[in-house]
Amino acid sequence: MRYRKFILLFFLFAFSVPVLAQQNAGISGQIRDNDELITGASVSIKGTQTGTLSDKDGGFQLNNLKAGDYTLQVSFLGYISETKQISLKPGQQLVLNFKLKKDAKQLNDVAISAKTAVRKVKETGFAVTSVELKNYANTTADLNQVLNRSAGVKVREQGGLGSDFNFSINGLSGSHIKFFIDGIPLESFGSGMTLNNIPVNLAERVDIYKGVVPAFLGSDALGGAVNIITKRNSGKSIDASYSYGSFNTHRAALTGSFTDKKTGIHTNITSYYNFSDNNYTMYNNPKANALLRVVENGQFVTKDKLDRFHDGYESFMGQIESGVSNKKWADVFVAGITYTSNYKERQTGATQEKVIGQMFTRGHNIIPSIRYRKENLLVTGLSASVFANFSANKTVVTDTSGNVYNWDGTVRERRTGSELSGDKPMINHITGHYALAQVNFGYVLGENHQINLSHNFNRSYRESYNEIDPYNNTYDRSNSLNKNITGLSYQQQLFNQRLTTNFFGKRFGLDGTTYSKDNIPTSQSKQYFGYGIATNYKIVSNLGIKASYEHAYRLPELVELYGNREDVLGNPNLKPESSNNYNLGIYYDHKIGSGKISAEATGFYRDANDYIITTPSTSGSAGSYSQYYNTDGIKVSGLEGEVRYEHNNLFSLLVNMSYQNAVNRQKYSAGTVRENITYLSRVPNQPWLYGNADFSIGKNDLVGKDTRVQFNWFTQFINDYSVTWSKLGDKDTKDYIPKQFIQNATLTYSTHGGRYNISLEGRNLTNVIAYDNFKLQKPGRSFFIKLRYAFSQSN
Amino acid sequence: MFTTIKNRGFILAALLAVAAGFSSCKKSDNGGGVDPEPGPKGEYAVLFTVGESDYLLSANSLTEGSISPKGSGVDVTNIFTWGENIIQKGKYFYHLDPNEGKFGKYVFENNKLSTIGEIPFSSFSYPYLGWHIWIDADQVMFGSRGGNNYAIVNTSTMKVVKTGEFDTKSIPAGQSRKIYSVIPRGNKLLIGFGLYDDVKKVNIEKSYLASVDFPSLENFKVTSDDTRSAPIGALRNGYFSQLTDKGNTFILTHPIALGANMPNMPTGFFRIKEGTDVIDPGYFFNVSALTNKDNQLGVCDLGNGKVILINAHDAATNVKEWNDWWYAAMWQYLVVDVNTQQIVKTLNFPPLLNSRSAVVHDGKAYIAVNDPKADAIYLWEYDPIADTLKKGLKVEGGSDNTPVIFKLN
Repeated sequence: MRYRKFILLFFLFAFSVPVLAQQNAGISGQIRDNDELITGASVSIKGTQTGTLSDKDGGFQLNNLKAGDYTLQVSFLGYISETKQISLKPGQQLVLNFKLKKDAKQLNDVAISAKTAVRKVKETGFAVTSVELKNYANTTADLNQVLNRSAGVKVREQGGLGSDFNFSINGLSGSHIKFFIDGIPLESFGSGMTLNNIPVNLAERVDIYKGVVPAFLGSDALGGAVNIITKRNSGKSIDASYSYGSFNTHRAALTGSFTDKKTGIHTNITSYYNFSDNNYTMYNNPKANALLRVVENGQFVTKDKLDRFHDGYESFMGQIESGVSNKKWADVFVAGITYTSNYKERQTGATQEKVIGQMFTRGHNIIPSIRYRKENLLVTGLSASVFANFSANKTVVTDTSGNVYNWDGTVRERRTGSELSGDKPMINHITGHYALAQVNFGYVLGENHQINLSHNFNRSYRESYNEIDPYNNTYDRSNSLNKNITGLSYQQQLFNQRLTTNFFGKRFGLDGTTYSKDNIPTSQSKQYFGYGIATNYKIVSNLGIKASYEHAYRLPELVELYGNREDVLGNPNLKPESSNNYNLGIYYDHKIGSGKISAEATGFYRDANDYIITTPSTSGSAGSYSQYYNTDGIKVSGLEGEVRYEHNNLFSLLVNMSYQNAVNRQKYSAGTVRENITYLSRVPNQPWLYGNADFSIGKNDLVGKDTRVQFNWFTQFINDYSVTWSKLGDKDTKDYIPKQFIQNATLTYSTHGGRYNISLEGRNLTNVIAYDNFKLQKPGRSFFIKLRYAFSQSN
Repeated sequence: MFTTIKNRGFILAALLAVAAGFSSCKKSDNGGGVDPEPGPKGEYAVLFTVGESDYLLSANSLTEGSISPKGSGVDVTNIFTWGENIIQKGKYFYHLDPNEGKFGKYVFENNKLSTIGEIPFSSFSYPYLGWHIWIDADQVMFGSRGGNNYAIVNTSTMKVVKTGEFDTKSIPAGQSRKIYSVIPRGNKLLIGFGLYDDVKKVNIEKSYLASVDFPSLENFKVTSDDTRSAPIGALRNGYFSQLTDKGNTFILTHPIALGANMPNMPTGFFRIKEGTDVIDPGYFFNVSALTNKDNQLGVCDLGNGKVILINAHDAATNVKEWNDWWYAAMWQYLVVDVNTQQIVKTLNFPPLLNSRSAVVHDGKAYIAVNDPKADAIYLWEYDPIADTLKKGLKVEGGSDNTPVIFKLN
């Protein structure tokens, strides 16, 4: 299994290598100003038709040049053009960097300056953190680990690579947060792609929308959304990496793109592979009430440390998209296919006190898709994009051993049944289908007005059966649910673009069918309306304020609404969750000599009600059911701040801190007029104070021309928090997740202008016994080495 | 993705276990040298549950004063991880932790819970208790909910004496046995059980009684069956379901949705006459027939053949979703007499939330009363002789769950 995936990945790699095989005389380099890289600058050879635009990294490349003397000109709006005389020899690859100076006159004339995509996102009124991933491309991190460094974001992992996790934004988590990849709901790609297995190399940046989610992300996100923007290079590019490290962890990632000159067909390839034994060491830790006990001679015996033994994880993703661009009828039209597979062993139950030794899950998904985009459709300023996909998912959960395991891997007791629930053994086949169609229209009226209309239709379907239940040989027909979400937004820029405001409305439609045991269908249909506003006002050019509000909804999901005909009863009366979300922020940046300081602070308030939670389940024994129901929910208020200092290209320091106070808003005990004892008390078992400090220092050409040495130190802090209601009970008898400082470091050496990279990474260097969840220990100290090759060229 | 066991019965926990209701009734029957006056500090304990957290509070008296979990009480959330798996006897608490697979013994004294011993216990595939009985002063026997297994633990030495499964040969093919009651009878145990059809995936609506030799647990014989009601006993550990009066044993059936969910069956008492080992065909106290087809849960044995039940009044109308079994104001305390087969009294409370927790002391019952309009949950004293109801201990702090009362000596 593992080697088959490697071969497939290698094949994809080999497929994309011919891009690199064309060795011609050429010129390459990078264009920047004092502060940052310039994207979209024009690079041309005077007196010829040869030219290109700089890419997102400021890079450019001109190939297939004959030997001779040329005049190279670089120009960009708002900057003084530069020219250089060059002399090319046959086969020579000349590297030439440009540093453009701002043209004060031009800048006054037009209020457009070179903006990175990140800055453009920041300057909308939304409370958004935009994380540029190129800074992390040489680390072995997955997206979760990178996003976990952002203010207001907390990812709580249950273990090592591929473990279950809970992603929270400003105190709302789980299904309240929605994930997207290039604006497409991640769930439409099945269960194989998650933030804990997508390597950083595959994406360009990630936008984290807090509380208020723009209408073009057509989904029902109650507490925020994460949109991953992947690399889509129009030219030739390849980014390939492989890392190996502690716990027998292998990770490989590949993105590549090229265009066939004859046909004009452009192809993008994306793939990744993760494998880990996750056999990290578990420690006895009475301070956290996490004892490491085994049974010897019928008695508990405490051990200092033992390695995990059944926590292997493997995941693979391969995607090919091929199509045409710049045609009369389409700017982009591509068809693609994505395949994901994953295998995951399970080591613990709800806490590490329950040791599991054989249960595993295997799944695979196949997802065909099409994507279409056209600017200036019918009329100037009107753009349209369409995306559709269908995912067929198959997951098999195998739990057929009734054995009870010790942490040393020995069997404590042999019995029949299953490990996790103790019920009957199961090989449970879960089949799911998910169809998505998304249409997006944008219309630009002049420079300062934009209208956007989007519609999302998705249909989910699920069925399951237990292969080894001798009395259940028929498919347990389940239910289907359709969601229609329409978003309309209008964005205007006033007062010389100092005031940007986005008004939006969303319509959520829900209809579905459930089947009784006798296969009699019943249907229902409901709709809800959400709305919001996001505004940004620049007081002066480097100081501004942002405010946003949304009345947000999350619709109930398939199982919540209709049950699963096993141990969850449907509750057709379930209302969607709703929340009033507010953000108010201020941002500032200032240049100090060759350094630049920027700071941002945001206060937020979430008032979430009709929260959907579940009654407890006891695994399907007769008379035991769980059912989802609405409760009053929580209120969250908080503050987050981030300060960054960058000194030229030499070093940077980033510090952020987040405080959140999530309180119970259930005023009365259920069914009574009595005030709940926990009304307005802080919700337990949630981090409420956490922060990050990130220091990087690096130097170009330190050990040779076109090289860079970069060192990064990253510290993560979580304050302690009570597992149960902090005000109730005697403090001495309570359990806490301990205060933690986790130290990490990465050293990277790059050569050939960043084409070849090697990194050494150490995580949790001080070997802190770390927890995100009570009695679920995370990995200790670990080391990784990563090799990466990156190349890109604009056509 | 996976069902987490931690996401456990926080509501069920309250609905729990009046291990107190069961064992304290027994205690009272035994006499046991109990001081009739409210004793020194901490004679009673109250398990206060809010959300997924549990706090064990000490109470000096059930007839007066107030207690609150604010800043006081032992946080037992991560000790008693499954409310229905608590077995209490006096100041000792026993708990089978389904997650780690351990059986622990704890003592609650002076507002402190101390661990006396914890032993590995993972004999049950399904480690959620359905019943327990005390065989003697030290030995406790228990079994899985809806299962056919048992274990005997000596709580003095904290050793597992025996574990296993009751006879399987007598189970018809394609069916499984679910034990609801175990009744000690000298050198025999009487086993009340039901059968489950594994093919049709339904409970068979019939009650069975068997006898087995004790302590060998051999010679399993089905002695009788009865279709008038089922199941014979309670589904969950700690629910009151049996009493002995004048040598006869009475067993309350639990067809209610919170029990085995057999909506077409009435709730009532079966009788096993003294000296026999069969369900008495000439006796069935049909409580539902006296309450317009309502179903009931057991609360406590008052002595002299009188029993407190709690009646789910007109559940068909009041229960619109599953949670309503707890939070709909529909429950009534009934006092019934198993000998006269009459409802003696309906205690004078407004419709209550599910508040099924009680201890009996000196012939009086102390019951938790969750009146939705009251300023707190109070314990009320019901004196069956004087026929009086008195408001007692106030449990401050609203919670969705009714506290559970334990008598510690």
